[in-house]
Amino acid sequence: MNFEFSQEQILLQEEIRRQISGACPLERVMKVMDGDTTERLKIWREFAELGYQATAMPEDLGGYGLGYLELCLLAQELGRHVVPIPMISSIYLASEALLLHGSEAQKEKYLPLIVSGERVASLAWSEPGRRVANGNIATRFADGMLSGEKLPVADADIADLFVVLAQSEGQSRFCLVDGSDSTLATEHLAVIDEAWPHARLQMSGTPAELLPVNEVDVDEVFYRAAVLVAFEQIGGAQACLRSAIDYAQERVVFGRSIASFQAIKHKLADVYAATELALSHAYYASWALQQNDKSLRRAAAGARIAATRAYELASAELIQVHGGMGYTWESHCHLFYKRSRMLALALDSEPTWQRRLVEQLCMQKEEAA
Amino acid sequence: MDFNDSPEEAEFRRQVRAWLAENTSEFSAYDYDTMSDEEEVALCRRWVARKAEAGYAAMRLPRAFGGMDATPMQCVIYAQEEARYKLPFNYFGITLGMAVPTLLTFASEEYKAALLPRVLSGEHIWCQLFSEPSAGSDLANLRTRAEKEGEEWVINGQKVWTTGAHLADYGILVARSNPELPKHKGLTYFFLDMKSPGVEVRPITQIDGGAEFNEVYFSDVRIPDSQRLGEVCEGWKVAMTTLMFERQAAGEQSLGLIDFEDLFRTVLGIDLTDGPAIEDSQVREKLVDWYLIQEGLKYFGYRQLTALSAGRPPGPEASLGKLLEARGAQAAAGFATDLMGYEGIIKDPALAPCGGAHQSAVLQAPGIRIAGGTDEILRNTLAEKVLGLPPEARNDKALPFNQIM
Repeated sequence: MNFEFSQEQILLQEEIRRQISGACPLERVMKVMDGDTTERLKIWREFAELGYQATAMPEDLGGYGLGYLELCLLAQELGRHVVPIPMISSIYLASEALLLHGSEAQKEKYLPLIVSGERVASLAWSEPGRRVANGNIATRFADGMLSGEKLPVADADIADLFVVLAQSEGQSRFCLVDGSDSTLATEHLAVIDEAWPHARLQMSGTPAELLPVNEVDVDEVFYRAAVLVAFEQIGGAQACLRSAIDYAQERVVFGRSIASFQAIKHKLADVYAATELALSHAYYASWALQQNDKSLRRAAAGARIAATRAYELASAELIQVHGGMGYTWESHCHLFYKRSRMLALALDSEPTWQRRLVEQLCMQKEEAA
Repeated sequence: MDFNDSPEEAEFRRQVRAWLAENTSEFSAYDYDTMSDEEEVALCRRWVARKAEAGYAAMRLPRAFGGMDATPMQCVIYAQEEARYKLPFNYFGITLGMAVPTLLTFASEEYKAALLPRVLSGEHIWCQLFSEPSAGSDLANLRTRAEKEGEEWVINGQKVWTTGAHLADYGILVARSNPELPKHKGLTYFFLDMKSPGVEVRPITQIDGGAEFNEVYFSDVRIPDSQRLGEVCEGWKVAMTTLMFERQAAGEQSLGLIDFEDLFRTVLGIDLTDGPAIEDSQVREKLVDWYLIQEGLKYFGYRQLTALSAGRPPGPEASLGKLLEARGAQAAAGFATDLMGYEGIIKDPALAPCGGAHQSAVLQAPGIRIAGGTDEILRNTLAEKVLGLPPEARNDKALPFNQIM
C-alpha cells in the first residue's frame, strides 16, 4: 500500500500551481466577478495551450492520457485559485459522459475539440421544480429531437455543445445538442456566484443525437465528477485556511495579533481538521477513480460530502476571521464563499449524496452477507 | 497511489490470517460484555503470551527481544486482521506501546534482558506515572520530588489518572529532581517496581462505574540510580520520546468507542413511527456524520502510515484524529440512543443493541475527550505546531520552578 501521490505527480502539481498563480491570480477572477464574463473564454484557451483540459484524455482523442490522479491534482489547483473556467461542465461532466456513453464516432468528433480548447461543452441535467433522479425527467427525446427545459445549466453563455439528460422510451439517456441551433433559447440567470454564469436552456424540437446505451447508468458520470469536484473544493478550502492564517497574523487588536487568541486558533484548527479529513476521503476516491474500483461510488460520495463540508466551513470562517473587511466586495473572501456554495449544489446537494452514500453502504452490506 | 497490498504485504497478511485462525478460537469463545475484569485480565495475559510466541505481541521489537523487527505497515496489517476477532481488552496497551519502547531506547542491557521477557510472557503489566493533580495539560508543572541519596533516589508526591496502576508490576515515572531550574529542565525519568515500599495505589471510580485509573502516592519510595532513564534533569526529553511512541502506537487502532458497523446495524434494525429509520433523511445525515469521521480517519491513518514507511516520523498533525473521533463518537452515541427511544437508557448488555456499546460510549466519550490531550490542547497543538500560529503565553516557562510553586 502506498497512500500518497508520487514524486512526479507532486512536482507536476507544484508546477501547475506556479502556472495558475501567474496566469490567473485572484485579481483576474475579480474581473470576471465584476462582469467581464468573456474573460473566462480567454483563460479557457490559455489553459488549453498549457494542456490542462487534455490531462486525463486518452492520447488517441487528443489528450495526454496521464490519468485521473493527475486530473485530481489539477482540480485541486483550479479550486485553490477559484479559476472561473468551465472545467467542471466541459471536462468532468460533458467529456466524461461522452467517454462513458458516446459512440467511437461521437468521441472522435467532439473530444479532441474540447481538449484543444476550441469548443466548450456543458452537461444540462437539472430541471426546474423537480429533483432529477430515478428517471424523473421531463425533457423528452423522440424522433431525433429534444423538447424540454433545463435549469440551471452551467456555462451556457460560452458553451457551444450540450450533453442533455433526457428521457427516451422510458430510459434516462444522454443526448448531444449543438449550441448554435436556432431552436435553442438560453436565458441568463442571476446566481449566487457572479463568476460562474448559469442559464436556463429551452429546447423545442431541437435536433439531437442520442448517445448509445451503456452498461453503466447515467449516474456514473456524477459519481466520477464528484471525485474531481471534491479536489476543487479541498483546494478552495486550503486556500481559505492559508488566507485566514495570513490575515490573522497581521491583524492586531487589543495590542495582540488576533492569531494569538484561542478563539481564532481553535477555529482554524477545526478548519484544518475538516480539510484533512476531506483530503483523506478524496485520496481514497482518486485511487478508486483511477482503478475503476468497485468501491468508487461509495468513495466518491464520501469525498463529495466531506469536501463540501470542509469548504463550507473554511470559506465561512475566512470571512469571519477577516471581520468587516471580509464582507466587502473588494476583498477576495467572497470568491471562495460563493464558489463553495455553488459547488455544494452543482452536482446536487448534500441530502442527495447522503442518500447515495447510504445506498452504497447498504449494497456493500448485502454483498458481504 | 496504490491502495492494494504489495506482494510482500499480501503474503504477510496471509501468514497473519492463518495464525489468527489457528490461535484465536479459545479466546473468542467468551462473552466479554459480562465477564469480570479479573477474568478478562487473566485472558489478556494468556493472549499476549500466545502472540509473543509468534512475535506478534511486540512486533516492532528486535527479534532478540521477542519481536519481529516489523515495519509500521506490518503492524497495521496485524491490527486490521486481529480486529476481526472478539478478543480480551488489551491491558498491555501502555506497557507495549509506551513503556517497552522507552526501556528499549534508554534502559541498560541487563534490565532489558531481565524485564522485557516478563512482559512478553504476559506476566508484567506496566503503567505510566506522568499526570498529577496540578500537572495534566501542563505536564511540566509536576511536583513529585526525586531527591538523590547516595546511589538511590527518594520519591515523594502524588500521581493521578494512572491507567492500570492497580494491575501494574512496574511503572515509568517522571519526577522533579531540581526545583531550582525552570519547570521543563529540572525533571528526571525513572522506572520503578510498583511493589516498592511506600507506593500506595488508590483506584478512582469513573462516571461509567469502571475504575481503570488510579491515584498513586509515593512516601519515601527508594529507586536505585540504575533505574534512571536518560540523564539527570533530562526527563522532559525522555518523556517526549515516550509520547512519540504513544503516537506511533495510536496510529494502529481507533479509540474503539463506536464501530460504524455497530451503528449501521442498529439503524437498520430500527423502525420509526413513519417507517424504517434508514429511510429518514435526518437519520441518514447523522449516520453519514459518523461514517465520514471513522472512514476518513482510517484513510488519514493510511496517509500517516505511508509517511512513516518512508521514514518520516509521525508529526503533530496526528492530533486531529482523537479530536475528531472523540467528539464525533460522543455525538454518534447520543444519536444511536436517541433512535432507540426510551429504551435507549438501558445499558444492560443482555438487553441493549450491540451489547450496550452505544450506552457505554455515552459514558466513556467525555473521558476520551480529556485523556491523552484534551480537545482544547489538541486544537492548540494543531494551531501552533501545524498552522504556525503564535504559542499560548507561558509566563512561568523561564522561571526557576521553586519560584512559581
